[in-house]
Formats: sequence, structure tokens, C-alpha cells
Amino acid sequence: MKALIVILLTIFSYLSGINPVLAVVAPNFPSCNNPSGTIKAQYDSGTHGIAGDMGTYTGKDTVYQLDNDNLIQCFCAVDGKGIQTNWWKDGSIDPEQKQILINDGWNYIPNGALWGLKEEGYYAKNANYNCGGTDGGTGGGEITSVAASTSNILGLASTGNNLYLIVSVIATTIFSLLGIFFYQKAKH
Amino acid sequence: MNKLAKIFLGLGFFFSLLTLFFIYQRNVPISLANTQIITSETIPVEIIIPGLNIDLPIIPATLQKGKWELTSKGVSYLISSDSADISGSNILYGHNWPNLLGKITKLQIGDKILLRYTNQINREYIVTSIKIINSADISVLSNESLDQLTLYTCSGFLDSKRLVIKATVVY
Repeated sequence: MKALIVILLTIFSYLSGINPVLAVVAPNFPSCNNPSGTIKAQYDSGTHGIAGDMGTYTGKDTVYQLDNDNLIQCFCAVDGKGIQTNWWKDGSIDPEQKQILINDGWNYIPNGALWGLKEEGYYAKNANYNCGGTDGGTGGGEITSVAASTSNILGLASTGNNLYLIVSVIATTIFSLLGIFFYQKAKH
Repeated sequence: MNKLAKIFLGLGFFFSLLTLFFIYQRNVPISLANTQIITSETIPVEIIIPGLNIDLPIIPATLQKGKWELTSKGVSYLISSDSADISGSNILYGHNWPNLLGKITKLQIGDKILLRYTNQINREYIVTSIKIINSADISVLSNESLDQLTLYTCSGFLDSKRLVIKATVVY
């Protein structure tokens, strides 16, 4: 009996010490060197954005729609350095799995609409590849990205111009006061 | 008067004239008679918001390489864009000046917006949503069909936000 209790306690303590592992299996994405899917957007040149990267990149950009949820963006710089971004639409990923993905190098994009995609959350992961391009890149077929379409628009039109008015009023005040000051000074 | 005083007073005078011009530009009534749209396309040429006494010409505009064409002579109507981000159409925008769209902050859900088209057809829209968003939020530009209308102008501190009005056609 004692042996049975010891065995059960041993098994219990072993099992309680095991942390559940959350499995998040990312879909398979083709390489930009051998892309598939249909071209969603294509830019032969221009400045493009890369998800999770604050920089801007100049070169060729192509986005392939793989299926309803996934895309690849193939950016190819003029020097042949390419960046492949895998876009994965956020389906039913819970917060813990989300953290696992982020730890694994995925960037969470809350609103895909800002990148020319659906107005839903996406995960994007970047990887370098060699596109061998010399003038905007030729490798990887027609390389691109989703970012291309969005990076063109930085926002809505600037429909105010109130700043000009404010600056003008301030400039009027400052220059007039300075003029009066120097005028008074010259008088004395 | 010494030279420095003359320079500063001259600059002060110049900027005061500039200020007066900006104030004039924002308040001088916009006349429909001064605007003539020549196009074979059926596009809106006049926007009327009866509740706010707004009656303005609509000027065709484009969005190229992220740059929005914008007029001070009426309301801009996006006719073409090189961006895949913009789906649908019927996107109207204009300055938030008193003589342009400055008064649309008073619009309420259910208010009427009338558009008169080049083919003399009028369409009436009813405001269905009003929201203030960040200037970078371009998701509002997606209209599902010509039955929807998006009208926006600047809002907030130093025009950092956008007031976006969505309306749906009644007839």
C-alpha cells in the first residue's frame, strides 16, 4: 500500500511539474525566390514600408495572395538585398499563443487595412533573402509586398492649414515687438 | 529709425498682411459660378448640406504617390488613386475653414447631404456615422459601393485629427 502511495505521489508530483506547451503552428509560406499565389500588388520601384520596421526601403515590391488568410510580401532593394514578409491573418489565436509568436519574431499588426489588407489583425514575420537585383531587383520573380500599397499613403489629406495661420500671427507679433523695441532703443 | 527696427517692422507688416490673407481666404464665400467642371464622367459637382447652409462646388482630385490634391475653391472629390488601399469611391474632403467644411462638426446622424452630379441627377444621402480618427487611419476610405459616401475634414489640436462623416444614399 505504501509503495502504491509513493508511486502515485511520484507520478502526481512529476505531472504537476510539467508546464503545458502551447503549440502554435504557423502556416507554410513559399520563398520569395520561388513565389506562388496571385499578385495582389506590384511596384517596380519606389519607397516601401516593412512591417515591424520603422525604416523605409527603396526598390521593387510585390505582394502575393496565397489564400484567403495568408500573403507574402517580397521586397527587393536595388542592391539585391531582399526582405520577405510573411503575412498571416489572425484567426483565433489566444493571448498566450500571441506572445509565443511575438517571441518567435512575429510582429502583430492590429489593423491590416493600414497595409492594404483586410481590416483585421495580422502577424507578420520578416526574413532576408537574396533577390540578386541590380535595378530594383529581379530575383524571386516579381518581388513585392503588401506594404507597398500602403506605404504610399501616409494618411488622410491635410485639410486644415490652421498651423500656417497660427505661425503667421506669432511671426507678426514677434517681428512687430522687435521692431518697436529697436525703434525705441534707437530713439534713446 | 535704425536699420534693425526697419527690418523687423517690415517683417511684422509682411506677416500681418499674410495673416489677413489667411483670414480672408477662410471666410470669403465660395461661389459656384466660378467653378466649371468639364468632364465626360458622371461625377458629383456640387454638395449641399441644407441643415448647415452649405452649398459648395466639388472639384475632381487625385491621390498620387501619397499626395492628396486639395483645393481651396470647394470640396475635393477623389476621382483616381494609385493606391490599392482605397476601395470604392465617393470620397469627399475639404478644408475645415468656415467657408468650406468647417461647419460639418455640427452634422448629426440622420442629417441630409445632397450631391448634384454632372448629368444633373441629384442623390440624397443620410448621415449614418460620425467619428474623429487619427490622420493616419486610412481604413475609413473603404466604401463598399457608390451608395456610401465618405466626407472628411481636419479636426483637433493643430488639425491632428480627422472628422469623418459616413452617409448612405436614400435615393
